Amino acid sequence: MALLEVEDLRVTLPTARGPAAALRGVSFSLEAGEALGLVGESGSGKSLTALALLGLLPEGAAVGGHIRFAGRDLLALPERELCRLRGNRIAMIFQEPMTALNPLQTIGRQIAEPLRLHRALSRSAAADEAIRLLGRVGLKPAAGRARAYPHQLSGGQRQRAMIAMALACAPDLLVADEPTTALDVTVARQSLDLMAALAAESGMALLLISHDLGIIAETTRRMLVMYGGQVVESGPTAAVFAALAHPYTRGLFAARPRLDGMPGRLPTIPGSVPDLADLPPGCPFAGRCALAIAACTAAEPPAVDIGPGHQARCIRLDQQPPAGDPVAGGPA
Amino acid sequence: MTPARASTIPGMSLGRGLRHPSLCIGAVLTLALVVMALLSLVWTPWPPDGIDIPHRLLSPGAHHWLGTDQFGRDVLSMVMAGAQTSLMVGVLAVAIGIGLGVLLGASAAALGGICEEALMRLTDFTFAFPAILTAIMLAAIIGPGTLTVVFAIGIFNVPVFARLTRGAAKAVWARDYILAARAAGKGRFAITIEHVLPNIMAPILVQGTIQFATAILAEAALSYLGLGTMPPQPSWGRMLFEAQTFLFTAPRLAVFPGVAIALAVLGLNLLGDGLRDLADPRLRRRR
Amino acid sequence: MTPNAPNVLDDAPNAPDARIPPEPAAGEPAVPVLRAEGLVRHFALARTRLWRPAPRLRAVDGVSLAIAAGESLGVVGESGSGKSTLARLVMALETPSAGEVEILGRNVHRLGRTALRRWRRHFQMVFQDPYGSLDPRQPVRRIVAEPLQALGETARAARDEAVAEVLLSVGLRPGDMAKYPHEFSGGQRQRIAIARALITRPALIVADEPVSALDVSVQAQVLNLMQDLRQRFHLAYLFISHDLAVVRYVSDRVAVMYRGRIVEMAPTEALYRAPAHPYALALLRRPAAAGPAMGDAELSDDMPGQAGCAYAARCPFAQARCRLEAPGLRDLGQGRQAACHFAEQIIAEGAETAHRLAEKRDRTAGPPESG
Repeated sequence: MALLEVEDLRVTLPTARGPAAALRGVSFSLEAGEALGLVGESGSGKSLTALALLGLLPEGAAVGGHIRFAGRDLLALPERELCRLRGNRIAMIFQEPMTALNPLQTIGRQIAEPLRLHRALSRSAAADEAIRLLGRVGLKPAAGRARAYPHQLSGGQRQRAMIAMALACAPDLLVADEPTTALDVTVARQSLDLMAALAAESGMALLLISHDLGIIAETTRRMLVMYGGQVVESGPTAAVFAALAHPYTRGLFAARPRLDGMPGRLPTIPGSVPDLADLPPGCPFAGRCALAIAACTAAEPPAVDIGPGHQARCIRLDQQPPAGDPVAGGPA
Repeated sequence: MTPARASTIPGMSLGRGLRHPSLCIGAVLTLALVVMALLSLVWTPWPPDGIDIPHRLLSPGAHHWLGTDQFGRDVLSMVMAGAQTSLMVGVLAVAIGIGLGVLLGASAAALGGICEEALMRLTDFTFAFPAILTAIMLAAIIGPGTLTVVFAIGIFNVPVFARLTRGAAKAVWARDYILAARAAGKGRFAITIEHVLPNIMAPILVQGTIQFATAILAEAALSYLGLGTMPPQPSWGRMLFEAQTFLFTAPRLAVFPGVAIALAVLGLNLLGDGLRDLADPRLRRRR
Repeated sequence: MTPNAPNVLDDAPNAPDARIPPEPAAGEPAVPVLRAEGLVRHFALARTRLWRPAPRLRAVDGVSLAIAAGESLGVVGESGSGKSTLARLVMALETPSAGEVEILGRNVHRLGRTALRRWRRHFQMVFQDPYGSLDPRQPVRRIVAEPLQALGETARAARDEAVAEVLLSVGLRPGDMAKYPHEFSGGQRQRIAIARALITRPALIVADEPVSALDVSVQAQVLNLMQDLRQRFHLAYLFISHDLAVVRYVSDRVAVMYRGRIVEMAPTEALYRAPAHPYALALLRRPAAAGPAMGDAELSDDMPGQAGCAYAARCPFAQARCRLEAPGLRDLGQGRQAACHFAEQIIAEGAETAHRLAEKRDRTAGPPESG
């Protein structure tokens, strides 16, 4: 059985203009030791998915569906049980390491805290373990770094400290939400490599959330593409990049500025990301899609099998020219 | 290109306000205070200063709904007229506080450096004197009276608003749109007027209602001490003082002005809390 | 409130006429739109020891550059490289510790307050955060017209007309004038910010990370728009970004900054084909040249006074000479400059890696290089 199984996850958020269906039936599974990528833009629901996994949804959110973690349905667990899982068996790394660390406590103390809480280690044992963890994420000299305060570290070092903290209790699942967006290019790469290596080494599952296709491509074997609260395409990373089956995946791929791209105009996806509060009926991408027909807005498209383990939610897949011949977008 | 959101100023919508219970209660109580004060200008059941010794210390009844005091004055009329004093003192004291305080705070934030230090130390200096002490000093100089109370409370309010304004204004000055305005060539004065003040209005108004409540309380206290409103002008604080002698024979004489003070202060505080909630960005809907 | 409030803080309006045409008289050599010479900006840090002088952060440490009319210069660097400080120095929002900035031949840091305000019509700025750079309490009409209003210019009707015109040219509708920023998406807000920069018909737009806060699918729209506007209005850009892939699309030349200095400046194509500085190489092809154990070197803040190349500690090509002698920015021909003793070898190395990578990509046709 998979470590994590998310089935038909639905989240409705209260907004000033009535309830908004922010997640509309998200399903995926994650095996132990696997790295799964989750790609999406703002408002796609990717961060909400992560928060749902940790039971940290905003107040007033209505949740439906199932999240099974190691056989237990997280949505049915009481808050106390969830607290025991959080930081212990499910850990999370946030986008901005500076705000996620307490500026008034030393790094060592912050890493030791979950150890004392979840594994009931003594103060000194936890401190020793914290130093060992800092060494493991490459913060050297570890003993010295443990005594440092967050502001004394650079952005990359803070992110390493965050990783050490997340790894403290040897979690089964690590959720990393845009872990490198706030980091410099060269440092981001090292952070990612470290996370992937540690995951592979310890058999920990990794859910990597990012808007950056490059990061997903380099770090994960399987990926999901989210748009408008839905998984619009999912499959092995290589297959998704080879096929670019869903028009949104293709548009996103083409619109990305590339180091080796031709200078000049970039292909664009017209329009902007829809507001979750008033998503159109049917396919959420229909309003921006060059291939859209009337049927697209009539009903939510079903997931269509494209290859082994590769699915896309689109009824116009047969109209899509083969990959390698990216659709040229209209002017902005 | 469809607009992403409805066209209201974020947070401040009538619909949300109506759904906020403490805001509603606060608004109703405050409105009642204002209506009572305005009504007393044109009509009270009896003249509030009409002495009528034969009918002194009457219990509440059909003629005098809340009874009469030791001089036979109608308590309801006095409470109504007392609202005038409370309201006037509150409005003027808050106006002085906001006027001077916002000027000082906004200037400090805009000028920065030594000017800022000097202005803020000046407010600290003012802060060190409690309103009562200021009132006693003022009363010694210009004599007791409503004006004394207004000035004492007003001066006490200045540093409150100066600090609040400076803090909020500093936060606004750090925003990119201020940088954009500077890059466009706007001067500090124009930026303060056009960008800073509109963006800090909400917390100032919230603080205003709370200081209003404090002012009503302070006026009552000062009048009770005999430093404030002088007869024949009615005042809740002085009513309390005069009721003291009859506390055991006619406790209602203290109860009615006391309840009036409590309700007015409660109403303004609830209103302030409600407004604060409405203006709180965390309660606003984000993307 | 008061649209034309007299600015009491300003000097008397006896400044020279700010409306001289940007074009040079016939026969004279063209004046560059922007010329920065030896720009330095220090910040005093908090004292660490009582009796020592406070350490100083050299945010910008001797930057010289020039941008011709209609030219676009990209500035690339990581956080802390001083690129945003450079932008603010150029915009005369900060005073340099040394050096000068000339916009269309005028030293903006020497102009009087009123003269500077008038001169600002020629250089405008676009900021990173489209949520923070628009006043939430003002309608689009006032936001976009702000630079014109600051010039003390024109009646409201004429301003509205100008606003409608620029809104059209950035792909918005004149009808959007009455709306407030929160009614727009991130991409649309950035269009508003661009319209504001455009309304005075400037010769130079300084754009500080203008697309890094936007979604990928919207990023491309804004980049294309900036390209179009540049051609249409003959704009010069100082385009600042941490993302080399983004800079590539809008720049004729690229300057790479590291620790407050330009370490390489080259025509875009040449730089991306084969960079001359190891740092540029590391940014472009991370796996090949990032080097080991960079994690800790990244923060070893070598303080002023230290000899040698600032990048030496991270550089996989560093030799003894690099730690003794700081390389200056030197000319490599074909319009490129680099601050490295071994620039020629690096170019060769880079070309080779690029070749290898291209081969690999052709073979696998798999997931792309990240951008």
